[in-house]
Amino acid sequence: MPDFGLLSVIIWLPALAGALIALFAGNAAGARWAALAVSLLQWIPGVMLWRAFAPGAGYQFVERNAWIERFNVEYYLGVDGIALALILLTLLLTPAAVVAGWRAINRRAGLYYGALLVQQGLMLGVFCALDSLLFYVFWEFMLAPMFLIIGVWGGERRIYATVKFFLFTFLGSVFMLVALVYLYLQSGSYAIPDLHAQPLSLTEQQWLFFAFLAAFAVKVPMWPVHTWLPDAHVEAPTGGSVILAAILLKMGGFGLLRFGLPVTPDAAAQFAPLIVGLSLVAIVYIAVVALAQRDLKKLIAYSSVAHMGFATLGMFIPLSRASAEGAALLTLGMGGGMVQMISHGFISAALFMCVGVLYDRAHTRRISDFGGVANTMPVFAVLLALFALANAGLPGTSGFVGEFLVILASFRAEPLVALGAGTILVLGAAYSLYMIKRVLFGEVANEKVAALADLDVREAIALGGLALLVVALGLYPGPLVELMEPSLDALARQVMAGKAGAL
Amino acid sequence: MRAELALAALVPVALLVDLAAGSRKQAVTRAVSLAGLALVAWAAIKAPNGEMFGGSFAMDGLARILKLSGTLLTGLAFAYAPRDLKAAGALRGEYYLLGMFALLGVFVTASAGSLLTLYLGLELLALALYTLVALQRHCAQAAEAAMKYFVLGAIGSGAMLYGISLLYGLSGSLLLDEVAAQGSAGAGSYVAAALVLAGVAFKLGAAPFHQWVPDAYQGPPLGVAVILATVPKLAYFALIVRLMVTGLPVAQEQWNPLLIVMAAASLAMGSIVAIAQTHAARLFAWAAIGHVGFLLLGVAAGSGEGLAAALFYTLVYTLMVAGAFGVIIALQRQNAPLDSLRGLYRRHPGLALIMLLIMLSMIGLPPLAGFLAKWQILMALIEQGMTVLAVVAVVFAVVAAYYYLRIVRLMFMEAPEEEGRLTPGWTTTLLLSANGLALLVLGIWPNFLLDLCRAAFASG
Repeated sequence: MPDFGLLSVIIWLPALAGALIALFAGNAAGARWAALAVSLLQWIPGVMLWRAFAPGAGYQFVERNAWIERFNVEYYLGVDGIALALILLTLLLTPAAVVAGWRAINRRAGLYYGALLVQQGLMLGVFCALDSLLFYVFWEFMLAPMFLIIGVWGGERRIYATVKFFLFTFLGSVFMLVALVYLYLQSGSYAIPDLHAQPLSLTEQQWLFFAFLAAFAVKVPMWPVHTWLPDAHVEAPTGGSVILAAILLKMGGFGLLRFGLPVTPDAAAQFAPLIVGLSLVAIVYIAVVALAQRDLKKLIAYSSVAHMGFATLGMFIPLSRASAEGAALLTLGMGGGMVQMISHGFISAALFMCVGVLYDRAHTRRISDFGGVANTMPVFAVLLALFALANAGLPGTSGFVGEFLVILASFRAEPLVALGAGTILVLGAAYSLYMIKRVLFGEVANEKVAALADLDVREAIALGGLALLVVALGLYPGPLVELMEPSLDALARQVMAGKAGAL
Repeated sequence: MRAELALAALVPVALLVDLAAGSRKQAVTRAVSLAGLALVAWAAIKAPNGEMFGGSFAMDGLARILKLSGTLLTGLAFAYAPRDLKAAGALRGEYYLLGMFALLGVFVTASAGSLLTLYLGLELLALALYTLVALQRHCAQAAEAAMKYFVLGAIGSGAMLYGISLLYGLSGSLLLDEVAAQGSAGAGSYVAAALVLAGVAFKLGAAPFHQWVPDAYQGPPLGVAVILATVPKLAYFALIVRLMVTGLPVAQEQWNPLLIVMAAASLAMGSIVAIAQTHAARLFAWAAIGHVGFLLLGVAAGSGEGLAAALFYTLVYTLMVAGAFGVIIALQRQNAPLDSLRGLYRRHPGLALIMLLIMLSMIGLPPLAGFLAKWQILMALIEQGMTVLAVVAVVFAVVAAYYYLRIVRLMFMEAPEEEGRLTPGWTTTLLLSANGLALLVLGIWPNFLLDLCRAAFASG
């Protein structure tokens, strides 16, 4: 009896609709509206999932069908609180990504929107997969639509950027494939819960941990394998940047929580100081790099790397030293990392859309080409200022909650690290405010700026919606935390119990 | 044996039809050949398992699957090729006749149970191929390719024949089963294994015996190259299984290290040198060397799983190559420089999307069939504790991704060299779509083919 349900719907609806749009969409307007309709329609199963989800009841909405019988590979889907939070993020942001290309994408729009929707389906598949090979299928095939989105509709150096993106991530991922095959040969199963339960010696865990790290660190991206990101962001069209920053990067963090920590807990604890160190470098050094950028998109791209460093810091700092609080501290740290990732999803999407708004009108992204934009685009200026401040961690916005939780966890584990991490509050404020000052305030810099028109209705709805989410999450993060907490707690206990002792 | 007889009968029938239809109506010859191939395929499905001629000829699972696949690929080549051959002035009835002779060679090799039938099949195949490459006989490039291919192929055959004669001398029998039973791991069998392996490597185009491959692919018209790149690979797979795995199991410890070195060298050569190519057929030639390296790793794993994985790889790989050549033929450019792929999406979106599928499958992106092929080889390797080799293989797969991405880039991200929509004709479009989609379908529903491949090595 085939076993399909809501999760299959949210994965395959956009994937199939995207394929149809790519093949048959006659004109740009049709493709746009169809993509918007599908991405909004997706909210219905999304809300159903959210309403029916019971936090703390393990994996839910499970669908389990045999797939490749000889190797015990299954079509096995299910979500816990962590995955559901990221699924909701994806569902919320895809319409924004569709709107972001509304003006700019006129050439081969069918292929563009088709690729965007296929991309959405694949990303949701990554969050839903409970079979590691199925996870790999979604994870890897995602490279194809993104390769096209950057390469066909990107900027001047788009080909260099997209090939670099593909090869970097592909190289990381193949090591994960080797690790998954090794785990299958040990456990006889590709099911992720079985991999979590599989006892492994410390040496095995060390190798496996680095194989997983190769895949996930590139995606996060952690310093020093982040170099593809600024290139990809700068060249990608706005919609691509939104998807890339808001959702694709989160997959790296999600992968660490799904594989890195629970499959190889002892190795994760052993190498936690290394990850913490790399995260700190990302937070401090990359933030300084962001300060020096002249291109708006590059600035936001580097700020993304710094913020994702915060997420990985939260996940690993509680492991870096044995502490009495143990699992509770790990729950706190991972929760902070997750909130940080969700919040960064909204904020970075909004910031990239703001840059897109400016670029669509003025066809430049150089900060020095702007100045005094607040005079000609007042509504836009308010929103951009809000998002920039949220990016800097202003209390009352979602950016604050994640950073606060991570710093709290760091402080309990290792106060000195918390001090280092705290610099992001200063540096983040510095590059955000400096950017606002140069772009928004002052005299109207030139004729181009003088000719700027304020937001149209679609842009206002999309950015206004994101602003509401950012503020709502900042003031009342309770529902999000409650959604994830039981799953994070279970995960933390499992990680803390370790594995090597069972052998 | 029925399928062989049907095929052997088909060749003179097609020849007579070709004579009667006259040189201007190759379409008739083609139709007769394709209908005949369908019959041959049916015969191959129906033929019972069993041995003939005292074990010299055997029908088994492996033989059946290779024969069916060979017939299918020959049919695809016959369907794709005429357009290109016509443009090259090489469209003659002989093309179909030689193609079917080559297929007969594949059939005999696939079913060979003795050293003699094995060699017979191989030489039948090789002679048909040499002639096919020389089909465009007034073209200097084709003649040069044919000459190189012939001379180097003859050296390869010679080495193998010498090895075979040593095996016969050591065991006193031509039957592969008895060769295996009599074999001992002495110096004699080591020399024999090395010589045979060199011959196999020549045929397959594995490094360091690969130099003839790029010229042989590039010299003749694409319609010939599509046969050269697909059908014979099946026979060479049968060759390595029958001769090395069945015939020389005792010496496996001796020849396996050689095989591993050859596989790794092929991977490296194929993946790296292909990056610099500017000509489509030449690029696929170097890529083929890399793919051969990958599938040899499956054989080197030395397990039934590994062989089944290598068989799956061979079947899927030949299907991908057939589709890729099909698309390039549809571009209708003499000599097919890679630049002729520029802007294909604008000139014919359907073809570009099919080629995209094929390229992603070649890269090994899941869930396409090319991924399942690579994944099974990795499993077989890691199962045997050869994790380092698995890592080497995936790293070169990433290197190889670069030039497949270049093709995607040319099709989707560059402006076309010449404007105007391509008109490949609806049969070609349909066949190419089926060819491309087959890779997706095989990737999503692989169980049937996986089980067939495993059953072919059930005892292994």
